[in-house]
Amino acid sequence: MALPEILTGMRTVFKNVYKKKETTAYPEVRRQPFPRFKGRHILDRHPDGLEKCIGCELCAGACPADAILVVGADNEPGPRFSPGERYAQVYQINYLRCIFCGLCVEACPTEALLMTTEYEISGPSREGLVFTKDQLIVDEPIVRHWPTEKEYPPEHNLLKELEASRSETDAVGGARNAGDQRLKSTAASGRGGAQS
Amino acid sequence: MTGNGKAEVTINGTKVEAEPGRILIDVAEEMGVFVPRFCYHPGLKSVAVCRMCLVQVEGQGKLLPACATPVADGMSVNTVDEQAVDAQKGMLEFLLINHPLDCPICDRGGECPLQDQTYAHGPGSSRYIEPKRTYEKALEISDLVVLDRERCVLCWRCVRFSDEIAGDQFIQLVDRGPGTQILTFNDEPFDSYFSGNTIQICPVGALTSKPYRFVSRPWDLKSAPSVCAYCSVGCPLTNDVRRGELVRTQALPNENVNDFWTCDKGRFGYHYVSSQDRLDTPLVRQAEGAFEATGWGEALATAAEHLGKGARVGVIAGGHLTTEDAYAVARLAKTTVGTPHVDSRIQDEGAPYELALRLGSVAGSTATLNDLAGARTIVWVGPDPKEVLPVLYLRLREAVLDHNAKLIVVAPRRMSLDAFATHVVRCDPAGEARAVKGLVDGSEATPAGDVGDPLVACWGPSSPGRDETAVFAAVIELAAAHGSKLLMCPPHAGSQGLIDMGVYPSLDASYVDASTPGMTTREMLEAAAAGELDTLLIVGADPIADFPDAELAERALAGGAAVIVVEILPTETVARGDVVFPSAAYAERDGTFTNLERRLQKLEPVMPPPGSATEPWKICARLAAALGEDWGWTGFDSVWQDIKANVASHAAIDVERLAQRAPAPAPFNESGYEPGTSQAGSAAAGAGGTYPTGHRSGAPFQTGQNWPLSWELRAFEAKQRPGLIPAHEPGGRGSSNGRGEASSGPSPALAARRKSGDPFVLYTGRFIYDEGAMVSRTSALRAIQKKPFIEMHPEDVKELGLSDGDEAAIEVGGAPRRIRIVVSDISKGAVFMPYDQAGLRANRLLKGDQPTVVVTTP
Amino acid sequence: MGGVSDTLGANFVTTKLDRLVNWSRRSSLWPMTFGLACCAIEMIGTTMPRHDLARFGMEAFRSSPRQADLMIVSGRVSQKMAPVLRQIYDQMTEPKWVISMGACASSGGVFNNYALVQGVDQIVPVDIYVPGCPPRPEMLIDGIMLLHERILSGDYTAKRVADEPLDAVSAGV
Repeated sequence: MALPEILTGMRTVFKNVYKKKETTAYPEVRRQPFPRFKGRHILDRHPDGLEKCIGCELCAGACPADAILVVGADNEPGPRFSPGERYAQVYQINYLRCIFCGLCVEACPTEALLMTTEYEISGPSREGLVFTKDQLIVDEPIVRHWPTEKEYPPEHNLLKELEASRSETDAVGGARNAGDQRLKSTAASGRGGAQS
Repeated sequence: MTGNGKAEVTINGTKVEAEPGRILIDVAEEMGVFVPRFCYHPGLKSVAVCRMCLVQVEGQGKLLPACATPVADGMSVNTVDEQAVDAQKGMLEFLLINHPLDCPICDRGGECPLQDQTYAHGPGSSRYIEPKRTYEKALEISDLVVLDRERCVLCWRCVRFSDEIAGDQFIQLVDRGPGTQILTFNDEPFDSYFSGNTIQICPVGALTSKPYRFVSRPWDLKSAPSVCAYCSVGCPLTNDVRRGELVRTQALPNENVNDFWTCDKGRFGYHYVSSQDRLDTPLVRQAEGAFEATGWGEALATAAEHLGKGARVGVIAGGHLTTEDAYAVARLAKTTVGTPHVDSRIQDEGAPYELALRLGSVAGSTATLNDLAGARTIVWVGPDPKEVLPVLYLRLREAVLDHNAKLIVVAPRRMSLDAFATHVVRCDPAGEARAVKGLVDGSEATPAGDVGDPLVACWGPSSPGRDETAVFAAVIELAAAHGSKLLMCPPHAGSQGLIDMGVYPSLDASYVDASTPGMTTREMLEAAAAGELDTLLIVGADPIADFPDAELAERALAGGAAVIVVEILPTETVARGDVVFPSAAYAERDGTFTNLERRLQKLEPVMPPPGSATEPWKICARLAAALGEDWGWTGFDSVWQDIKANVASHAAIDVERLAQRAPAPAPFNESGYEPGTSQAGSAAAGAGGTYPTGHRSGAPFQTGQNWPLSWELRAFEAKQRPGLIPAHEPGGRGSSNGRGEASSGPSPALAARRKSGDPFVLYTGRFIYDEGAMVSRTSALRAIQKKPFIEMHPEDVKELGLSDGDEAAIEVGGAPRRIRIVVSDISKGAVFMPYDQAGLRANRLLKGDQPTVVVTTP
Repeated sequence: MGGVSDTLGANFVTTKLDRLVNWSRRSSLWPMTFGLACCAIEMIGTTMPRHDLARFGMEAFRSSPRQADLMIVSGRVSQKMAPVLRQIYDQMTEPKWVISMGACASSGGVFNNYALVQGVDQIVPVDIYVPGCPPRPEMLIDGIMLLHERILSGDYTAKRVADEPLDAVSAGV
């Protein structure tokens, strides 16, 4: 009774199970975010090694989530932190509050605060997600949580590949074809599609 | 001219009436038209150097500066004329030519008049591409002030303030032309007691505060209006808090009290509030001698046990308590505990404030600070006001220099007032009463006509050893002979409130004579030392540091009496306490201070007190509850209900009206601004308006929001605040508790009495920055406090075989000590020593009625 | 280690058994649907073929707390939702875990106001915080994998006891 339905269902399964999959096997395989993706911050340095951050607190003032704490201080004579009078004695970003809007980066008058495209910042504790100045400063390399085996460029388009593999099995039916057509046009008009 | 003698002026098409001769910029502002300005400040004279306030006046060929143009009848002014707006734009572009664009690191950024006015009236972009004029940045011109000459727009405000108001020109414009700059002289520090005011009035970030340097941004600050807790002038202040720490205080304007100013002690001496060593939990001394933090329950129970001893309890209250605290202390002592031994005079021990009742119905001033400006003669008998009541010094100076009052100073040593006094009576430390009496009967030779009506007689308790009763009686006699205007200057912010509320041995609240006069502070300490008192309750006072006989205070606290202390900081008295309750500091609480002219001003909390610390009145109410009496007090308002019901002099006070609201951006609020009533109206109203000028002209705005007005532009709100305690039916008559008339007749001159080789008569006085528990927590003020020294007459110094600047030997508490001699204008045979400078507290030397000191060659 | 070795003592058999149990727990988590706001869309996106949460054995989001052991709080938790959330958490079977997804769930985010719970860790113990507004699916997977490591190591029991914030809430609500 139910056997024909089961067989129909299994036919679909077996037809698809050996096809190329759409899934990106994150974390081993990744697709890089686009360059303007807003990930975790870094604090940049000048070529001579001084911090670009002058501790002006404009990022903290611009932050809609109140995620940034800056406490300024006077550069003492002798080895200094930043050019000019003022530097950030305390610089903290609370990633539990941060909404990655980038207003802080826009507000920064010295382009000291920048955003990377790194996003692996989950963690088990509140305290650990308040990043301090020594974590944010650019000399500290950003370590990913998981090793990466393969990384596609941002514009890498799996749909295109899928499309190619699917064109071999076009005989499925008209409805399916209509769907493919829609996919095709989306891919072609998209930025990734144009480049890949 | 209208019927009432006022000039009718048309400003931007609107007709207003104003007193002829008033400054146009003020008149315009009162009707809600804000003319941009840098050099004009309502507290200073106009110079019209910044050229920012140029306006179009009909019939004049050129634009006129609104800050230097008096209004006249029929005048028609256009402040938003195309030509005027163009001139303002041009001026701003010029000012910005050399102004560095380092707003991100400038402490003024966010509350800067230059920023604000550039946004409102500026050109938006600069055509200047050449290199800017540069100077060395961040010049520390004193321990309190940092100068950045690049940012200066040469408005002269600091220079004019130093010249006109403070009278100490430490800062001046030097060089000429494009090289003109603000500087101090030859690397001398900006050593003024009022230097902080120049920071506050600087319209750019040229003068910034060193203690506040890079500490916060204005948008991070939470502010509340308050009143300075130091001296009895009671300057209104704003307290600014960042992340639970008090980081800045600034003067609020009140033209009846401080005008726009405050002294550096009030402005920078706030660090004790957020000090790490604040008391934050009740402590009870255990049997083995150590303190233990027990929590309120046990501490109150222990204290109540000690307090339930009736008349064998003595209560000493300090001058930094508010009026409510004072009422609570008086009620706790006189009603709940049932002891008459209550006193609030520590450092001013022996000051007979009740004698003021001879002049009227109050044991306090009959004159106001504004009476100084209207006086023909002012007589000053007391300590150096620049050191102990700095803003009163400014008011005295203003009265003399701007209002042509004659100032007669009666003092045993040279003081700041001498510089502009009309007549200085130099007398012995004990001879002031005789000198004042000489002014009454004319035997003291003063230039003819100097003593005349209206006369304001000022008296402040000065130094132990001076016969305060005789001096004060003489001053009252002088005042009574000339219209009964007396300015009584007790030392601390809360002193007058304590007298008003009856924290006084011979007076109850409302100046009614006490039925059974209690012991004074000295008598209580003596009784405690002799074991005649079982308990001492010390509220906000430190007798060991402040009582003019440290040894007696130590003996009293070490005696058998249990010592209950309510304090904010761990003082030496706290260390000798048996039960200690933590108290809230002035920035953490509601309350009112009564200043020396009996003006009530309200404090508002801006931060929570540390730990379980709370207001002294609440602690008193808890102690009363622990003694089995429920006062039913729930908050500030219910305390006041009680005060109004029980204190006749305060029955008519409307506490609601005392609330100082934080200044609102009134200048732009064209619709809701009514001159004279502004403090109640525009601040509370959330109303908005439209920007009158500038690139946002016509755009709507909301008052109090989105418009980052600097202090400067907000300052004009609420210049006048209510608060003077109204007159009431007389209560007591000042029987003065056994002290009669001037007890001793005029004594012969000290020089005649003293034989060579006798000890010198010791005379002391407090200096502005000293080792007091509060002010010494500010390291910047501690760094600039004077080192200990003694002042002596040149002949006495010669007799010792020494000279000015040499070291002499004195003996303090049995130990020899070297001290620098300053030759000074002091009577022969007397020695002046500052009260509490680093490392030397004069109360170790003060003993008995006539303190003396032996000065020898080391 | 937790688990069997706590009761039977740590020896080769019990620790290996614990590891096996933890491995199996890790490999088939049953998430509870707790989508509260925009983050939920990303959570849903995470289960879609591109990211395919089924790779980690958690394809089925349960709507019934009895059959779930992982609560992904994705979105703003209002004060009104807080007791509901806690009740559902209490109804989930032990051992159970919580991921706080996004700024609002973790700290209130931009909504620092009276209406929202300022961090879901005020009502339930949170094992992993995932920042972002909203976090992209990879960020959520990153968080889930950190949780996997945590489960495998078996130290969740001790942490759970230490973190448990409010007995009062579970008792009273």
